[in-house]
Amino acid sequence: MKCLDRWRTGGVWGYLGTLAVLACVYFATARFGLSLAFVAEQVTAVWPPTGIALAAVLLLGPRVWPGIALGALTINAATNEPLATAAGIAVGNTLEALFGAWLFRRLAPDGASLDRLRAVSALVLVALLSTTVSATLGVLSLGAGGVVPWGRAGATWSVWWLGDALGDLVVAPLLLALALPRGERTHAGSRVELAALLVALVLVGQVVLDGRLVAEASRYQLQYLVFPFLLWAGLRFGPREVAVTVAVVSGSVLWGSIHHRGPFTEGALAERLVTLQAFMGVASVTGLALVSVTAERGASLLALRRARDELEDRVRDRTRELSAVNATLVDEVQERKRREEELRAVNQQLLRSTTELHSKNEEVEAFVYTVSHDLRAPLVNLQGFAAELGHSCKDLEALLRDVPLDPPRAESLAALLGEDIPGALKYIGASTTRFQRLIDALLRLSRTGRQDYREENLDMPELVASCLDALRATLDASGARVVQGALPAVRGDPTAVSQVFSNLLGNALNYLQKGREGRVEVAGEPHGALVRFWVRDNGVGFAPEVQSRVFRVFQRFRPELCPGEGLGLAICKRIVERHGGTLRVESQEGTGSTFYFTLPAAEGDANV
Amino acid sequence: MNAAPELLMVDDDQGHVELIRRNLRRAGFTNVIATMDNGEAALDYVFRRGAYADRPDRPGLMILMDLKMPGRIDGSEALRQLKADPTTKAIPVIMLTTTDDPREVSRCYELGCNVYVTKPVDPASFSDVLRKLGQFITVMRTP
Repeated sequence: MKCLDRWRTGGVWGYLGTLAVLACVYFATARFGLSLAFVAEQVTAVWPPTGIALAAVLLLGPRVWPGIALGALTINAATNEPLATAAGIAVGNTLEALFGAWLFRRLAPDGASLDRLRAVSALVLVALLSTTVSATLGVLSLGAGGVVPWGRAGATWSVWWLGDALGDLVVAPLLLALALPRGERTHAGSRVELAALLVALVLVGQVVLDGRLVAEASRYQLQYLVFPFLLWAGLRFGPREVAVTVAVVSGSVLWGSIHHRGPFTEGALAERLVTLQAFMGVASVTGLALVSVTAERGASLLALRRARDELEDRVRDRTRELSAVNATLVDEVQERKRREEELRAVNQQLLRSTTELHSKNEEVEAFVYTVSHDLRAPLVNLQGFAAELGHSCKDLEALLRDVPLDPPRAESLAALLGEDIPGALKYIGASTTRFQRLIDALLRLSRTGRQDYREENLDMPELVASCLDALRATLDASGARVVQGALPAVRGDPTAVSQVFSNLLGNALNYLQKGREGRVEVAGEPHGALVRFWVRDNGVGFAPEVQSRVFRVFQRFRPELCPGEGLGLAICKRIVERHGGTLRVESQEGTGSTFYFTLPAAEGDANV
Repeated sequence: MNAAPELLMVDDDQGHVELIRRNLRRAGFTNVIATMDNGEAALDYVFRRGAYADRPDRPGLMILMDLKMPGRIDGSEALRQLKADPTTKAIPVIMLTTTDDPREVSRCYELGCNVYVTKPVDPASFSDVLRKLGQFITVMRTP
C-alpha cells in the first residue's frame, strides 16, 4: 500500500510507473489465469485480472485504466488472435473495471473496506453486474474475430462471466483486504490461532479439495468441510485473514480441479465448471459476509467499550470534582461549626456581661438609694438646727431689748442678730433645700430602677389625656397647641409610662421658643412587636454636641426656662429601657426637638 | 394623769432627738421624754428588762421611733415585736423616717404602726410637722 501511495503521488513518472506495474501484474496474472483455462484458451474458471483491475481502480482511482487496457491488450494479443479481437476484449476488461468501481462506490459510499456488510453486498453485486460488460464485449470480439464460433457464444459468455465474477469475488477481496489500512484490531483471534487455522485449512484443502494427500477422500464430495474453517475465520478474525482463507480454499480447489483431483472431477465439463465456480463463489461470499458482520459487531463493541471508557473517565473526573467540592463543603461546614461555636462563646460572654452589668446596675442603684438615704439624716440636722439658731436669735434679740446698751454696741448687736446671723442661716437653709432636692431626685431615679412594674395593656389616648390634664396649667401658660395623633395601645406599667409622657410633654411645653406659636405633636405607630411614639415640638431645641448628654443625670439645659434637677430624661430613659424599648432624640437648635421611644405593643386585643 | 403620758423617743441620731425635743417643747409639750438610741434598748425599756427592769411607773406610754437604726433590732423589727406582744400591742407608735419609700411605708402600716411621719428637711415644714406631731401626741389616747 505504501509503494502504491508513493506511485500515486510521484508525479508523471510515478503515474507511468504505476501504469507499467499494473499492466505487468495484469499480464502476469492473466497468464496464470489462462493456465487455468478450461473451455477455450481465453476462458477460465477464475479470471484473476478482473479482481486486480477492480481493486486497482478502487484503490488508485479510475486514471489507472490505461494500465488495465495495456495489460489486457498485451495478454490477448499474445494468444494467437486478431488484434481487433484483442482490442475488443481489452476494452471490455477496462470498461468492466471502471463500471464495477463506479457501481461499487455508488452502492458503498463509505469505502472499499470489507469490514462492512454493505461493502461486501456491493462487491457481490458488482461481481455479478460489471462482469457482464466484459463477458459481452469479449464474446462479441471473439465471435467477430472468428476465434469462437457463434454457436458456442452462450456457453462461452456464461463461463467468461462467471470467471470474471469469481475474479471479483476471490481476488479483489484479497487485494482490498490486504490494502486495508491496519487499523484497530476488532477481532479476537491471535496470531497463533491464525497459524493453526491456516495449517488446518491447508491440510483439509489438500485432503478434500486438492485430493493430493488422500486421493480417495476427494471423491467423497467433502468440499463442504471447509465451511467450518471459513466460519472459524469469519468469527474469530478480520477481513484480511478471511480474504487469505478464501484465497487458500479457492487456490486448493482450483489446483486440484486443474489436475483432475478433488470433488469437481466428475461429470461433464460445464457441470464441473459451474459447481466449482459456485463452490468458490459461495465460499467467498460466505466468508466475507460473515467477517463483515463480525467486524461490524467488533467495531460496535470497540465503540461501546470506548464510550464506556470515556464514560468511566468522565465519571472518574466528575467524581474527582465532586469529592473536591465535597471536601470544600466539609471544610465550609467545619468552618461554620467553628464560627457557630465562637458565636456561642461570644454570646455566652455577652450574656454573662449583661447579667453582670444588670447586677452591677442593681448594686449601683441600691448604693445610690442607701447613700441618698443616709445623706438625708445629717441634712435634717443641718436644716433643723439652722432653724433652731434662728429661733435662738429671735429669743436673744427679745432678751437684749430689755438690756440697756450704749448705742454703738446696740447697733452692732442689732446688725449681728438682725442681718449677719439670719443671712448666714438663709444660705444654709437654701443650700440644704437644694441638697434635699438633689437627694430626692437621686432617690426617685434609683426607685425607677428598683420599682416593681405592673404589666397591663394601656389605653394610650386616655393615658396621654390625663398627662395633659396634669400639665393643664403649663399648657395654658404656654399657649401652645397640642396635636394628638394615633396612639396604639402598649403593654407596661401605667405609672411609669405616664411619667414618660408627662416628662416629655412637660419638656416640650417648657422649652418652647418665645415669639413663636408653640406646637407639640404626640403620636405613635406600630413598629413590629413594639409601638414607636414620638413627642415633637417646635421649641428651642439643642445643639448636636449636647444630644449625647441630655439623658444623663443632673444635666440641665437652659435652666432659666424651667426649674428642675436635670433628672427627667434620665428617668424616662430608664423607664423605657426597663420596658425593653429605646429612647432617643433628634433636635436642631432653634427649630425644635423630637423624642422617639418604643414600648412593647399591647397583647391580645390591641384596643385594650 | 392621762393627759401626760410618757414619750419614748428612739433614734440613733442625737441631733434629730434634740430637734424633736425642742420643737415639742416650743409646741407646749411638757410630758416626760425618755430617749433611746437603738431598738434593743427601746424594747428593754418598754418590757422593763435589763437596765430598765425597775424604771418608774408612768401614767401612759407612747413611742416615737426611727425606722432605720443600727444594731440587731432596727425600727421595723422593734415595731413588729411591740405589736406582736399583747401587753404592748396597744401602745401608740409613731414611725419616723427620712425616707418616703412607699414599700417601707406600707411595711410599717402592715406591722401595725399608728402614724407614719417623714422627716422633712424643708426649714418651714419640719418644725410645722413637729408642732403638729406635738399636738397630735397630746390628744392621742394612751393605755
